[in-house]
Amino acid sequence: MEITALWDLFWNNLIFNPLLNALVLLTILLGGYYGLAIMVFTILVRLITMPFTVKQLRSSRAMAVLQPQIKALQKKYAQDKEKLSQETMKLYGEAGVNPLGGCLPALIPWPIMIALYQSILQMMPSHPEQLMDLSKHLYPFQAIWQVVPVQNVFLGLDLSMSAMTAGQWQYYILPILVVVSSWLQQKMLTSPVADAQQAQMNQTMQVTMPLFIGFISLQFASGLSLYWITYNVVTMVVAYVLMRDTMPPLSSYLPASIAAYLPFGTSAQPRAKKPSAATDEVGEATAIKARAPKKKPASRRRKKRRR
Amino acid sequence: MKRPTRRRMVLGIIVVLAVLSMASQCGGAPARFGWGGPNQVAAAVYCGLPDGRVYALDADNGTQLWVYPPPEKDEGEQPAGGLLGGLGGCMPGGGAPAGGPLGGIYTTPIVSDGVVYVGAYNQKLYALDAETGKLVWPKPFEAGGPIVSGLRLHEGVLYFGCNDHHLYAVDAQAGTKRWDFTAGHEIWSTPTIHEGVVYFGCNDHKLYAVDAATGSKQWTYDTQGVIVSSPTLAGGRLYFGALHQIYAMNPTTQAIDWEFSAANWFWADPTVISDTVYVGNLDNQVYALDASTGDLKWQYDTGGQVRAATVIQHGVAYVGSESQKVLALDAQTGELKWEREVKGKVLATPFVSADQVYVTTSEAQLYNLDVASGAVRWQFPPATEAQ
Repeated sequence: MEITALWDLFWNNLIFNPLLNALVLLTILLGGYYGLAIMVFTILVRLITMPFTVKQLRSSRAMAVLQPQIKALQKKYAQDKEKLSQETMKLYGEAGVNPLGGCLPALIPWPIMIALYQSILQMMPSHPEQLMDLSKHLYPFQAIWQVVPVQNVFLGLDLSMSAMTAGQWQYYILPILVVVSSWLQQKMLTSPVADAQQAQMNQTMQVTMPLFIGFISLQFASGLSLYWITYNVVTMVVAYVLMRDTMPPLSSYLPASIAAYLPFGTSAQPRAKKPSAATDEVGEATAIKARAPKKKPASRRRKKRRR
Repeated sequence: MKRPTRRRMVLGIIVVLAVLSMASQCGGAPARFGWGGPNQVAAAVYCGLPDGRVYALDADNGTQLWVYPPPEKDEGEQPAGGLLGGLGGCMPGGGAPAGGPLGGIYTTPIVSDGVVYVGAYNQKLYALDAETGKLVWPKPFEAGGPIVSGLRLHEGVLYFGCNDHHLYAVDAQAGTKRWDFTAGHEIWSTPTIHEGVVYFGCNDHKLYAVDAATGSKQWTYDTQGVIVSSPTLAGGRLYFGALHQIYAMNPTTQAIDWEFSAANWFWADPTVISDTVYVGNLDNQVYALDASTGDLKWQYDTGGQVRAATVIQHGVAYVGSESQKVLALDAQTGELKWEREVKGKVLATPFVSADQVYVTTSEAQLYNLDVASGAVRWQFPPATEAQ
């Protein structure tokens, strides 16, 4: 069997088909409302993959804190690459930071999110050949087959139509929300960096990436926009809940005229850190040193009975 | 240094998996190409090809007689190129629209009184002069959505279903609407007409019967799934596929005489000859069933999904498959007589004459095969140009 056929077999049977059929089941459980199923399923899958994202975020923040020291080392050992490498690794080791620690967690959710995104689109075939292809991926249960074709209309929008195809103003709302939520998410989760050039690049990305994603959303089925918005909102909410100690308050991401109406303050300073459990990443709450075993009061000590 | 090395290995594997997962889906989404079949009338064969044009070819040698629309008069959508086209190749449901100038042709042309009728995905129904390919009507008939259903001509009226949920009845002479009927979902099933009643299936899981003269509903029958295939009337029974079942129904009482279940969906039109129902399934099989009882006589694995109807001629069952093959099976036993590999999926119903088999493929090819051996007599476009 060819390698591509083998890969298709692996991808379809282990990742794509299970996700697709789970999405169909959820649609059935939610009364046939496919739009609702998209949102709920995206939330569930995002929550499952969120720990990897959080780990990646913590790692990148830890790296950001070390940037000034790394720059100092680069200046000091500009002529000695080997020494620079050694000292850099030593710095990482002392700080308990793994420079690759963020990459791996960031990549693990990718195949799952790609499969989820494809599942969403596969259930809204835009032409007969796609519906025919869907028959190869659905499990052979009548309850699943009966859902086809899914109820595409959600909140007055046909989720299988793109904004460009529909040409009606209400279809442009979702891509706009995609742009806004993508921008907010990037702003929230991008770690500050000491290097001015890097900071400039980050700022450019914060503008161009959401616009690019929004442009793509205009071209493809509206169900995809629903997926992106839900994905971004879940990511922001969970990241904020888990990492709010290291983040500025929400209001700092919004213009002052809007933030003034919000209930959660306007200070741009991070909240005071609460003591928390030990971690091995710099930038989190300070580690609690290993507790010395406490001695019980004498009155409570059990005396061993000697027989 | 073992942990960092192991982590790099795992990282490398994850990166490869992520890249492969994206790469495998780029270009893998099924394109829209249509499955209109060929129709031979006299010395010409007419077909719509996946390049979105209607062709008239010499039936003997495949020479092009005319094409519509001619290349200098392209209309409608053009494929998107550049970044969008490339991204679309990676994203199912998006990207470059296929189907050429007419947006894809799912109907087999009907020829009557020197006029070729064909519906297209661009929502238009065309009437073309069979000799010249020029428009016969002042302008094409505009439906409310893409036309995927086949056409049926009966007593001067063209009947077809549409993605706008309507069944249309259009005057074949004038190209004007006589009436339309609103169903519950897209209609991909080709209507069948018998004794003044139009029978058709719908994606709302129902079989409809409407009056052919007025379009008024007579009855509906609920099933478990979409009905894409055309109902077939034979021996007083109505045979149709819904989801993974073939039904044999009494059209007068709507009582079901028998049902037959397969492993996937029935999208092919049933063919009923000599008390046998021949029908293909998306589980790759062609089934031959007893028309009276539904008992299985034989089945044959074609290696790919079967969407096209099976054509029976001279005791041989001709069928096309998604596996890029045309097969000839003994109609009595299901034994393979010959199979021919072609370029592209064969999802359109073949046309079989006394000595020739015509098939169209998803690669915009029309093949003329010898009916006895399956040898390729000619193909259009010719092989050198196609390569």
